[in-house]
Amino acid sequence: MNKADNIENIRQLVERYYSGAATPDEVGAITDFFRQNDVDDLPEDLRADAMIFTEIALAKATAPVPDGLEARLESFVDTLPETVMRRRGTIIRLSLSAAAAVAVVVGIGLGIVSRQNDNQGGGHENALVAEEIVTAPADTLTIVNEKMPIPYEAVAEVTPPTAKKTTPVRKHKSKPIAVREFVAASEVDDYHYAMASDVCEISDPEEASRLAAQVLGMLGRTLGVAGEAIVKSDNEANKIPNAINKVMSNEK
Amino acid sequence: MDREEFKQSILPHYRRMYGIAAAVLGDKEDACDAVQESMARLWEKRHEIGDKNNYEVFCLRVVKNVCIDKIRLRRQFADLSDADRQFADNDTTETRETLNVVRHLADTLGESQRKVFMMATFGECDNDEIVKATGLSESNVRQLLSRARKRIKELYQSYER
Repeated sequence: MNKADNIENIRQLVERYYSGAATPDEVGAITDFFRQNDVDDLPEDLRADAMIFTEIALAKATAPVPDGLEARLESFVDTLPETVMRRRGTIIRLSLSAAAAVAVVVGIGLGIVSRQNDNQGGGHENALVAEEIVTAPADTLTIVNEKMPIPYEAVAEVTPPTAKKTTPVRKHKSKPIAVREFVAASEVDDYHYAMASDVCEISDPEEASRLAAQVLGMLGRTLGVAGEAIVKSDNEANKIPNAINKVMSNEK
Repeated sequence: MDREEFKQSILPHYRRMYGIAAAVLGDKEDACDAVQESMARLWEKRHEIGDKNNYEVFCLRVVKNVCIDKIRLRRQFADLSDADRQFADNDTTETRETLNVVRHLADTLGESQRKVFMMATFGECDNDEIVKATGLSESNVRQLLSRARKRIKELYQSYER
C-alpha cells in the first residue's frame, strides 16, 4: 500500500472513529499510524486528529496511580491461596445440592413410613406422590413433613396442611424462582464472601447461569431416581403382607 | 506459574489496569479495588494465561470485565451518578494541574457523553462492553461517542488557538 492509499485508509478510519463506530483495533491502527508519522508530514485535515491521538496516548502512559497501590497488590498476592478456589466454590454448590437431594429423599421416606402407619394399603397414593416428584420442576418442590424442620423459605410460602396431616410433598403456590434471579442473588453473596475470606466468586453471569442450571439439573435427576426407587420400594413393601399371609396359610 | 513468577510477569501490568479501571469506574478507590480483585481472578486463572506475549491482553481483559461487573452492580443500586460526581469533584481539587488536556476537555462534556467517552478512550472498551455496562442501546452509545469525540476535537482546536 503506497502512502496516498495509506492516508486515505486512515481518513476512512478516522471518519469511523468520529461516527462512534470504530472498533478498538481500528482505533489502535489510527494511533499507530499517527505515532509513526510526524505531524508536519500529514495532510492539514489530519493534523488536529494526530495531536488528539498523541495526547490520548500520552495520557494513558502517564496516568497517575495512587501511592502504595503496588505494595498493596504485592502483599495481597502473598495472601492468595494456592488452591483453585473456583473448584472449591463449585464443590460447595454441588455438596449443597447433594445435601438437598438427601434431605428430600429422607423427607419422602419419613412421609411414606408415616403414611403407612396411618393408612394401611395406600400404596397407590405413594405412587402418585412419587409421580408428582418426578414431574415437578426441581426449584418448585418443598418438603412438608411435621417430623422435619421446615426450611426458612418454606415457612413463608407453604400453607399449613389441613385435610391430611402428613402430606409428604407439596408444590409451591408462589412464583417459581427463576434461574436468572437465583444467579443474580448468588453473585452478590459470592462477591461479599470473596471479599471476606478470599474465596473467589463466579461473577461471569453466563458461567453462573450454566452452573446453576447444571446443579438444578442434577437435583432434578436425583429426585427422579429417588422417586423411582421409592415407588419400587413401596411396591415391594406392599407385597410383604401378602407373602406373610401366604406363608401363614401354607403353615395352616 | 508460581507466586514469584506471577509477581514478576502479571503484577507490573497494574498501572495500565488501574488506568482502565479509573476511566471506566470514575472512582479512584473503586479502581484500586477493581485492580486488586482482578489480581485475584488472574491468580485463579494463572494456568490459563498461556503465552507470555498475551499477559497484558489477558490482564486488561480481566480488569475490564471486573469493572463492567462493578458498574452493572452499581447501576442496580442506582448510585452511579453520585459516584461519578464525587470523582469529578476529587479531580478538580487534587489533580487538575497534572490533568492531560484531553481528560480536562472530557470533563466539560455532559455526563453521559463523558462517561461513554472515558470508557471508550481510556477504559479501552468497545461499544458492546459499554452497552453491557451502561444499559444504553448500541445506537445510543455510538451516538454519544460520536458527539463526544467531535466535541473534544472542536474544543481541542479552539484550545490550541
